[in-house]
Amino acid sequence: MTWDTLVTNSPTFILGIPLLFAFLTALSGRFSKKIGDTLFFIALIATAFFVSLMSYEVLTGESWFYVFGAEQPSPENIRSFFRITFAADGFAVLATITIMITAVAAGIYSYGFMKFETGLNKFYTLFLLTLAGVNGMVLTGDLFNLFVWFEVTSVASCALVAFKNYRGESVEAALKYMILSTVGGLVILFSIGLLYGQHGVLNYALLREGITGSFIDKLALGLVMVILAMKASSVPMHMWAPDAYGEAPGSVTPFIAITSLGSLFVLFRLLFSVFSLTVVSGSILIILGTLSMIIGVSMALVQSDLKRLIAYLSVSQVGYMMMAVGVGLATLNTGDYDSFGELAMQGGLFHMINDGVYKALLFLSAVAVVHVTDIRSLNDLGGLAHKMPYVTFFFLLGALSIAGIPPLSGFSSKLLIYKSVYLYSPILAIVALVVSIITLAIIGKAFFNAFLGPDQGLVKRRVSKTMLLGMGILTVALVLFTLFPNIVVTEVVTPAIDALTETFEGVIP
Amino acid sequence: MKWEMSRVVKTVTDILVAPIIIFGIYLILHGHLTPGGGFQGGAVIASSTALLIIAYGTLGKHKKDLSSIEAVGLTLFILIAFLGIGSTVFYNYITGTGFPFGGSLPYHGPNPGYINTGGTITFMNLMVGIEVAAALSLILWMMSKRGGVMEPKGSSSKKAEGKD
Repeated sequence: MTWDTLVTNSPTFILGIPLLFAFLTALSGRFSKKIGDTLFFIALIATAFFVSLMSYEVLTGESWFYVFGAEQPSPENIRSFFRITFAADGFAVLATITIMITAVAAGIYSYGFMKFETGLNKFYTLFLLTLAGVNGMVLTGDLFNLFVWFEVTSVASCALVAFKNYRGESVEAALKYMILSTVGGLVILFSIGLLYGQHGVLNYALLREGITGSFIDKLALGLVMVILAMKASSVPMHMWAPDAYGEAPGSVTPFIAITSLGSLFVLFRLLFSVFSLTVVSGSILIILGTLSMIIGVSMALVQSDLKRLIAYLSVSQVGYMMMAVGVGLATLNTGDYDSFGELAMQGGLFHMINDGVYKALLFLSAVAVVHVTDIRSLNDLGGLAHKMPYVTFFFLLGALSIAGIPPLSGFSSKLLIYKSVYLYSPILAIVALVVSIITLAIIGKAFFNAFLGPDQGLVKRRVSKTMLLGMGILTVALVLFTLFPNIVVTEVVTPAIDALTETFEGVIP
Repeated sequence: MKWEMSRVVKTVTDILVAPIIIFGIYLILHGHLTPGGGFQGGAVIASSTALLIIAYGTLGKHKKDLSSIEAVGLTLFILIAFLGIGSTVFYNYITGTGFPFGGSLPYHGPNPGYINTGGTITFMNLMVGIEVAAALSLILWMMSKRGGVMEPKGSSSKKAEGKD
């Protein structure tokens, strides 16, 4: 097996390795716990390796379509195959990098956090299955395959939410999430059926040729959009998110959040690459995004539970991305796209990768607080900075970044969004600014309540080293994004935008 | 609570289990030629487990074996898929080679039902069949008891079994 083979096949390894090791960890639970731990970390590191391999190849060389089961990985004419295809392009690179940073951090954090739970090999299995599912969702270039990975993600992440099944709240949250995901999966299947009946193909690139904007196309688009926005915890359909985020085992909370970010990636891919109804869907994205920002932040205002507070803030952050990318989509193929649409896209997609990092950091440090004190309510916390300096620092970094305070990476992406959205409609930019200020007030209140003040002696146990290491990885990523936002935007985000707007040009001869 | 069925039920179960399993294996192995396949055949095999649970009220101490068999089936499925890595994953590398029964056969067109015309599909069906049979048996076994898969800290599986 040569190096080239590894590079060309890297999209399948990104899925195959988590799947293979998921079942191996399930098997190893019979023999010893240590084997399960080792296999889990091997799987995480190997997946991260193949993600970086694929990213390097795409960002320096060319993107490619991977056809499963064909004699050549990228045959000349994909029209002759009814086969599953994967699109390894700039957009997939952006999405998989975002997912892998959080996955590695959450995986390492889990080792210290879940030490005292039973059935850990099943936890590893579910974690790796979710990882494979999310990566599959963003990598696939086939509509039915998308449904399969959607279901894999839903089932595995529902089971992850319910992992501590001796707590009634976890089971309730998982049931809510599961009912919504299952109904969502069926609705997606229905709309895939509509599209297949109309056009006879499932491949994104081939489907795009057939989409004309007829009533059936619009119906299918609406159904898919509603369900993916629901999974992305956009506002009218956000009610599952605070429950699921709040009740999942602490270490996987950012990972559940990453599955919703993955759904948002898929939504953008479908809206840009498959459905060419840009103005309508762009306007809907803007409306949903604005609603998410306002309602998410005003719900966060009244929360006293630390994890639920961050969950509502993450709902409002999803609004920023939807609004910015919506502006890009609404102005696509017009003169406005060159003047500010592309800037809005850059801001939105850069905000996604930022958000994946700082949201995970906030969640993990909030979970560390709950782990150490056994207290969830902000009213009872206080003075933790005396005993937990590292966690305080991590939380502060995440808090400043989510509020968009100047030197941090959250500011860079939000500035791009303000600048570009202002040119589209000043009201949207003002809403975004006001929401950002309220976010600062909320997260400042949370920081003040939990960490500052006299030491109240609430610390019951230590934060283990692996938990600190997990948060440290995220901090390194955050600092890198803070120091070099221009490099991230030009090297990672711009290829992703090109992949979205060029819509598989050159794939079909 | 220990309960048992009458001798009639047990005897009929003993007679029927073997044909049901053989029919399941037939469905799995001919999955690429006739309606059926790994999932359906596995489900048929699992129905024999249901029969056993109803008649005897227990499967003995095979719970862990079932979950291991399931994991082995899935692992082998992925390995078979990845063996085609020379071309692509899921590439059908044994069509036309005559593996495993010898005599290379064309894989296009009608034939009297040679099993080795499917290439890797036969073996993948087999693995899916193993997985589904074990998983559905495990699910039936779980549903026939009150406990869950994962017990909270402190209540061991021994204790949970004692309650029944």
